[in-house]
Amino acid sequence: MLSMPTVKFPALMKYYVDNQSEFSVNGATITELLDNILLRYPALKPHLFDAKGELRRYFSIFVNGVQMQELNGFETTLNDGDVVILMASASGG
Amino acid sequence: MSLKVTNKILEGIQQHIEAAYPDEGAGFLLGADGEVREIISLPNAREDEARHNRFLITPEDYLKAEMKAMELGMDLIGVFHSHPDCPNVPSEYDREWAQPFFSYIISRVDKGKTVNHRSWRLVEDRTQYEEEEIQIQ
Repeated sequence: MLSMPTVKFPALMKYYVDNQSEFSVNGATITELLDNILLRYPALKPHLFDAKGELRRYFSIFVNGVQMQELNGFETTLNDGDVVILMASASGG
Repeated sequence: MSLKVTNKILEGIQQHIEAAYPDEGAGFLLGADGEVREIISLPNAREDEARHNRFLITPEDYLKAEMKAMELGMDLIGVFHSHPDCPNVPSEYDREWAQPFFSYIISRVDKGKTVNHRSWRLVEDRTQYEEEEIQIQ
């Protein structure tokens, strides 16, 4: 059975995801989930990943309120009903 | 491309960044349609030794600011921060962290006093910033 977590985006990124603040997308892991988001919304890619293919530093990913680094990183297993939040931070210098 | 602000908004920014000196001070710009109507000044969450040339707004503060903007019927439209004792042009580090659509006001603060403000936006392909005019209303 496909896992269909709910994904929440910061308001700023809504432009790239059809003006939705949340939606459901398939993904058994965070990696799969991000791949499927980008299949649906390819224009988001440069704002989600840097040139090395790494998640941009202004995003933190939480699964059911727990930061993914405290779980299994990008290989964290996702289940139906899980809530994945792409939370932004801001930095500079 | 331009960013509309009032003197009151700029005074609020100035007050925060001068209080933060010699560290960088930062916060959010709230408004709509290229017009700043409110600011949220925030603590610099970077570690002590990095605050003189780096700032960080945590995800928690970011989320609270988004909720505040929604309450006020506005959007987060940008970030302001200071460059203490150095030019107020975006650094490479600024570009790495820049988010699309945001206006970035960078203010130069020399010896604790604000010199001027400039505003910048990331171009869509993320390769550079473009300066935008600050229109004081």
